[in-house]
Amino acid sequence: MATGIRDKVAIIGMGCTRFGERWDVGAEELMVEAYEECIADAGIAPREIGAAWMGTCFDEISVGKSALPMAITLRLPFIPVTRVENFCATGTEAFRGACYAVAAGAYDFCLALGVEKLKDTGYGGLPSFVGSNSGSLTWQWFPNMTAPGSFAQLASAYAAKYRIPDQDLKRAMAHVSAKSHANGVLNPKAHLRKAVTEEQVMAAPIIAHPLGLFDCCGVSDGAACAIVTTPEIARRMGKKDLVSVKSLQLALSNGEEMGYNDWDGEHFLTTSTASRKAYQEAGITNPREELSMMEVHDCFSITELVTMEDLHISARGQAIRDIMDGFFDRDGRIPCQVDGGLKCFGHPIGASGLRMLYEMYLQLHGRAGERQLDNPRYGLTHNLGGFPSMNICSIAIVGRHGE
Amino acid sequence: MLEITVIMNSAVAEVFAWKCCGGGLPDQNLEIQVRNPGPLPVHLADRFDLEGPGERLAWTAVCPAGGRTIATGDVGALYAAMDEAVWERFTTLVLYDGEGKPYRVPLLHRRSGA
Repeated sequence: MATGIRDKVAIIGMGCTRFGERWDVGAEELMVEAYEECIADAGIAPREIGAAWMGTCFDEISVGKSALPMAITLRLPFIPVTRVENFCATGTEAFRGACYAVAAGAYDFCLALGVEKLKDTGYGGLPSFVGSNSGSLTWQWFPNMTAPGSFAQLASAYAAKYRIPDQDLKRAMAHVSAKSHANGVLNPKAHLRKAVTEEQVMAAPIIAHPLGLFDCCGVSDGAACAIVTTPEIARRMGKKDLVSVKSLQLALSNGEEMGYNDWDGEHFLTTSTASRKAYQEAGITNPREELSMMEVHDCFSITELVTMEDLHISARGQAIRDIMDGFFDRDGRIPCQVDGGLKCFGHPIGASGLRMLYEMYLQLHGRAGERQLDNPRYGLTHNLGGFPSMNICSIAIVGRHGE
Repeated sequence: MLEITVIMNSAVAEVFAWKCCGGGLPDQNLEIQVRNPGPLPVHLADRFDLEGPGERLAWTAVCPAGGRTIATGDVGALYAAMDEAVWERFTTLVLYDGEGKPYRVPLLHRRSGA
């Protein structure tokens, strides 16, 4: 009988680069920057790493195929290194691989690193990736679609289902973005570090109605990294106040959203499913009461808004009320995007999942500086790769070991 | 009547530069925020004038090109790349709607925007 991952793996080191338009460095330097912080934090020698996972989404741009770019750049000692890719869930996939390897007893120490170097394209958005490598039915299902367009449809469907006036939805989305910008001000590694008002967000040009410029995250260059081991080994190393993994869940669309009529386009079937399993694995019965903080996939403001319902924190149709009540603000009940989120910390696709875990790790160790929260217990991270109609959702929950 | 707020060196410039680098929108540091409390939509032209002591300057490099329609109760903004030294020579900004009606805004020359 499977017992899940809860408390079987401890995170003993993490590192994260400053995200942004890193014209000054390549993917290799980004990997080194994250890795050096991480291995110094872990307090182990490189030769002790038993296996490694590398996450990058657009290997074609600036990184290269296979896991060799990481193995060579970090001079890893001829160990198994696996490259993973699962859209925006890529970083968490690398972390998942490392965690399961440790939990299985295959290795004492494993490394997970996510990296992306996208800004060299000179283009504000993502390169097109919905080719034949997304599956043979992809072209039939969405022959001509953009990310802002598809998430705008999510917003429209949500507003229609719950009869929300356009201005109310835009105001709530503006609050989501203004909150992340306010948090980004406090994060020296964030890409954007200036506050904006809700009025500025609402006044910005429309990208795909009702999503405006500030409702859409951009993409960045960056890398993030974690080293994991067992709690027993961590304790033998003298580590105290261990941060351990409580849950790792992943749910992928199976075509049900696009192929049948039951889904009305206003929420994520994957997130709803993965979060239920994640809470069960972590032993959480009431996430609204038990979670201390979250980093969710705010690729668009509406994604964050809807995700609060799919995470079963806000009731269906009630996320707007929670958002406007400040429930997810830094001084609210469950602070969300404390590090600035995708919108302000930035979004180097393959690194984002590990970047989210980095913030949870810092918060749980009381090392988050100006944005430190008061005594957090459980932190949840959420990635959503793809589109509302076909996506990959990963959820991780971390917390203090044994609690 | 429109409610107009002019923000020089606005934080939005950084977001434009990051997210719209493929769209050729660098240095959009002047934000002209407009709220329309009236009963009808208003279309704003993609131009404005700057007026100062003995001087008038027509500014036509305004984003979004084609202007912007502000619905009743809605807020929208125009943006421009503005040299601070030029900006400080002027005391009034004149915005126009689609029919050429002017809206005059005194400038406070606040150096740092919201």
